[in-house]
Amino acid sequence: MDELNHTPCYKKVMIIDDNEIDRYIASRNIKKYDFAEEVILKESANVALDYLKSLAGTSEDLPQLIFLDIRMPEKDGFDFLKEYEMLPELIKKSCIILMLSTSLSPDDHERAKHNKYVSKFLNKPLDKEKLIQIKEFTDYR
Amino acid sequence: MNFSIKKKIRLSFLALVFLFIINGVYTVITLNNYKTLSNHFSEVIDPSLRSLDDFKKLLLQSQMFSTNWVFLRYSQADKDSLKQIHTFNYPALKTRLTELNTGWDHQNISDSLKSMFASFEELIVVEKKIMNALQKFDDYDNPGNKLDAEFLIENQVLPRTAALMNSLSNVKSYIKDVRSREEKELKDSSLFLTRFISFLVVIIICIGIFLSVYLTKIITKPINEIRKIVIDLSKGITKKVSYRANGDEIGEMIKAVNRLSDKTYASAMYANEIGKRNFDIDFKPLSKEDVLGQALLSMRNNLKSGDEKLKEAQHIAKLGSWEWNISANKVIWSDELFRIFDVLPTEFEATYEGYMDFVHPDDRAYVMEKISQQLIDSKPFAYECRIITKKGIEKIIYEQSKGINEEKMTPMFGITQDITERKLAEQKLKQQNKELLKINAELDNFVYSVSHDLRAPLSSMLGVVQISEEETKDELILQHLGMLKRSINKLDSFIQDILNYSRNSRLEVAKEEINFKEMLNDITNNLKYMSSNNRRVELKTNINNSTSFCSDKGRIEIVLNNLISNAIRYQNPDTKIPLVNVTVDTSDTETNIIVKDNGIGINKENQEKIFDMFYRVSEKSAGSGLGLYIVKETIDKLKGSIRVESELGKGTTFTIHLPNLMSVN
Repeated sequence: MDELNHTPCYKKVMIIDDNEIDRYIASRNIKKYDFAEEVILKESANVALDYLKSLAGTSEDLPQLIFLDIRMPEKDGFDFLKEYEMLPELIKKSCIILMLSTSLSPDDHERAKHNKYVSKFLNKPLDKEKLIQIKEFTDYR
Repeated sequence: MNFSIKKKIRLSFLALVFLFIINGVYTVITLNNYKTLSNHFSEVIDPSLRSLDDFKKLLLQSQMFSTNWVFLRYSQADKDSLKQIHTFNYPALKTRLTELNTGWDHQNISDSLKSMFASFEELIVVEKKIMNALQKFDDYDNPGNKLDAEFLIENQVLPRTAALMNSLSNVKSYIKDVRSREEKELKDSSLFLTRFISFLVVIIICIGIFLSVYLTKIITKPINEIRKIVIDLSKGITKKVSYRANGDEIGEMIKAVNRLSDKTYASAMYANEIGKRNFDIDFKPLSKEDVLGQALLSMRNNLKSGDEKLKEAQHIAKLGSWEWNISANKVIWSDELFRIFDVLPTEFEATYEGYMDFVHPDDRAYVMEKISQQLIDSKPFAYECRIITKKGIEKIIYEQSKGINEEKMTPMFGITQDITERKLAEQKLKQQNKELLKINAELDNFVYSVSHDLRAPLSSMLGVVQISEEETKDELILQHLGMLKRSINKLDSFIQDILNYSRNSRLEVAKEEINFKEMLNDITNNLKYMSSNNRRVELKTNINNSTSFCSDKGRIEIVLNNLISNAIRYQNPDTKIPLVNVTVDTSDTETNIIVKDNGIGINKENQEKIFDMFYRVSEKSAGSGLGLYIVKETIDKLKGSIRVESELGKGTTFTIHLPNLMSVN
């Protein structure tokens, strides 16, 4: 992870996960390996959506990456995606959504694969190797 | 007039014979008369007439000779003749006449003869007086004698002779009368005989003609009539003889033929009724030997039993049959069909419209379309629809017909089956199936949720452990964290195994085209970071995908994932580069996948057990003991096979054979 050591790859990433520990692990690793300058942690889909809506006018403040958990109470990851679709084009253009889950359900995988806003499906935990994988993947894009 | 023909013919011939006999008898009698009469002529009448002529001659001679006696004294010849007459001729004549007289039964003739004989004998006495008086020449010279003799001639001989001549003539004419009378009688009877015979001949001829005509009439005509009827019978036409039947043989024959005709007609009518399936009509065979009648009865019994069986079969199957004569719009329903529609055959006449009235109003348009389509293209058809029976019960029926053959103009034949129960069962089954699917989906969901909820804390733990590893340099702590990590991984793969096992046993085999290259890439990508303890394994693939391969993608992924992760897990530390070589060779019907590694290998005796549930080769094994069991189960589910070849320290080769589901519907 040497390449991450000096300048962070991303300015701002967002973690949407109801599990506090997972949020911690993600943010901790992101920071440790200088993956992003700023990590926004959101404990539910609604809070995350509200946050995104509040930033609607300013593309610079929007998170470049969104790590989205699937299984969450109230609104799950797919519910989030449904409402995300309603958001202004500016937001959708600026953000890359990555699914981050422990789900092995082929159904979840299929749904994620077929959703045009989801770029990748990742298994938890978000560790160093996965961050490198994401870096390679987003650079390639 | 009940005379038999035999009697009639006999009587007619007897009549003819009788006429012949009469004719014969009469002819014989008449001819006999003829004979008697002609005998009378030849033996009595004619000799009598000749004798009477002889008598006349004798009388004249006696007169002449007696006269000559007186006046010619020298004529001795005449004197001898006179004596001859007296002594010989006259007695002979008298005898002859007396004899002839016996042939006459006329009293007057014999009386006349007697008086004539008496008169002549008196004359002879007179003449003898003369002869006595003048015996010698001298006597002539005696005038007294001579005068007396002359006187006697003059007064006695001549008158007496004249009187006798007169009597003779009378008798002769009487006899002639008799003769001519008898001659006439003979002629008359001959004429009568001729007429009688002619008459009889005519009568006999007439009777003969009449008989022939009559016999022809009473025998030939009815026989011809009977012949026609019998010929008709042989053609299967039953007619009766209209000829008036007498009590004779022909009459009996006509009655017999009529009876035959009647019975044949009755049998034919019975057969006709059987044909119309009227099995309960009374019928008795004409006799024990009546083959046709017995055959009809057994035919009736067989048909009836066949019919009953068919009805019973229809009843059991709740399946009715129908025949629709489209042009006449007449539909013949089988008994079961009436039962299905809850109507009695007596209260419902089946027609297209009548049928349509039963069809559920919501289905009518559909049924009409089906039927009219059939009428257009004449192809067999089948449909299901709902009906509302007379009792108001809703049923579901299945209709099927072979369609009509327009060329033959035969009625359309089809069946109607009450499939209500089946449909309800089907619906129930569908419902249950739906529920099962729902339960299955719920179960699936549950399994994923459980696995997720079990794995989520594990991944959190793993994340925290990884973070902690970064934070410390203490060897012991790092060692402990490594142990913790291994346990977490083991538990995680165990959860995954259980999930896979549960899915494999429960879910149907899915079918989609498989891109092995993509799949292997995904698998290796996922496995790349499987274990930080292990070295990376070099994966080589050799895929021959000239033809598409279809199978259950998820399951094949599980199989390959398990095999490749095993290759990583059990790599040989002694080799420089751990290798996994995957070869896929696909054909239209199957695919062969070979997964070959250069790992630690499995010893021979353990090779058989590696597919067993919870079997682990050694306590060092990192897995749950479910991986290869799941591989085997999954391949069995895909109707494939797996084989293992392995050598300790050299490596292991798994050969998988799977059918290509591409060609399977």
